[in-house]
Amino acid sequence: MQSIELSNEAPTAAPAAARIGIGGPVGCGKTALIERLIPVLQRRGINFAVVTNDLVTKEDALRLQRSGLIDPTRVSAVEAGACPHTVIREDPTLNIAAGDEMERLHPGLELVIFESGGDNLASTYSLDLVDWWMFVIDVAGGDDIPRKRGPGVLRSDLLVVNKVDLAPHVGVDLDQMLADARSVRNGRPVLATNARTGQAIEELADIILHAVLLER
Amino acid sequence: MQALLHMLWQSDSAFPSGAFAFSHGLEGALGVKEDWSIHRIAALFATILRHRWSTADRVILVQAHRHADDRRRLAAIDRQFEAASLTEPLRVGSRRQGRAFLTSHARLRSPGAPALKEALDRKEILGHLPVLQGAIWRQLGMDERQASLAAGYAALSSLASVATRLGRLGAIQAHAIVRDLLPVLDQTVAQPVGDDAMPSSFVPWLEIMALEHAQADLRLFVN
Repeated sequence: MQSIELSNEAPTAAPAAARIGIGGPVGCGKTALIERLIPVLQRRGINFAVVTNDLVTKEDALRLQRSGLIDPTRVSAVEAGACPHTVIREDPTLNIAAGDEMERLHPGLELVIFESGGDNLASTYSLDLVDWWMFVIDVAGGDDIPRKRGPGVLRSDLLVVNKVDLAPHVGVDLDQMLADARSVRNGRPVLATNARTGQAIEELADIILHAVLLER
Repeated sequence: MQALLHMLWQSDSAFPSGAFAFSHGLEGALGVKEDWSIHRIAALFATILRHRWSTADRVILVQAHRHADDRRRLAAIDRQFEAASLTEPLRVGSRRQGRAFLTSHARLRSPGAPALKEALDRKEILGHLPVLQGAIWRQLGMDERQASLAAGYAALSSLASVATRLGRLGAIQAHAIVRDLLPVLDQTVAQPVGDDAMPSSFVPWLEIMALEHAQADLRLFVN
């Protein structure tokens, strides 16, 4: 098949800060993971901001703004118009604009985290919006999630299995769930976390900062 | 032919412009009662087209199209739309949607778009959607009527999409309304716009609903 040369007016991206996505179903612990990541990133001297995409409220943004963990001006919310997929994939322009606004408000910003509004296993991020993204699932959602092979599970740069402390209480064989996840992802990384205790959060920060060339 | 293709491209709801997240007061309005008939919803859409989009957005779009090369004039048209948009959720929504629309065109390096994006970032313009539609679509070669039709169709299909996502219309019902309102769109676009025409609108109930919606704890759309 013959390739098609794009014109000089090909899409270009100009943001200075690295942009990452944190997606996953509602209730998997995305906001809790971000709350754990915030002090780790601050301790490592990363200049960052967070953009949330709540489905029907601004609850996640307000939770972070009121947490005392981060300057509230470094958190903003984008409405998803009943389309949590669309706002991070087919039409990420509102998120791109929110990221641009964060960079304008906070000169020297190095990292913008886009938290998705929470959806199903088919959710993925547009590479117009982010340089790298991770998908979060949790053991309480069922140990069959990796075997269902949704695009989020398969295509994310990192799959996080959260709430691992709940495994014995919900009848999940964690080792088997992690083995299934690694099997379907063809060598892409999988990380088991517990946002409640902070388990593997330092390792998560290592992976993120290595991926976006901000290791320190 | 290229201008016609550009018109199709720009009126496609798949073009990333943030439009999906704005209900233009409709989420608040449709939430007032449960028993909305398809006929009442169609009448509401027609009212919005005739008494807001046509008399405000379209007027501004046409003027921006005519003065696409004159940055100072564009800024003045932009300010005029700001001043005429009394309802904050709709006014702010138009600016946010304009910024999203311009973000895509600036990244695509559509003619004139990067310079307009710089002007927006420097706060030299406010970036209302119809101003940017008129200015950029002129640069894409679309004539005044094509630009008006593209914007009007996008506005109509956006309303239908909102009502569908809110569960008030079936997808096919929504397109029955779109089909039946195409003549309304044709009529409104045919109305002349003077160079000194002022934008105006009269949809007070919808604007009150938009104001109430802005105070709601639970909402899916920006406005």
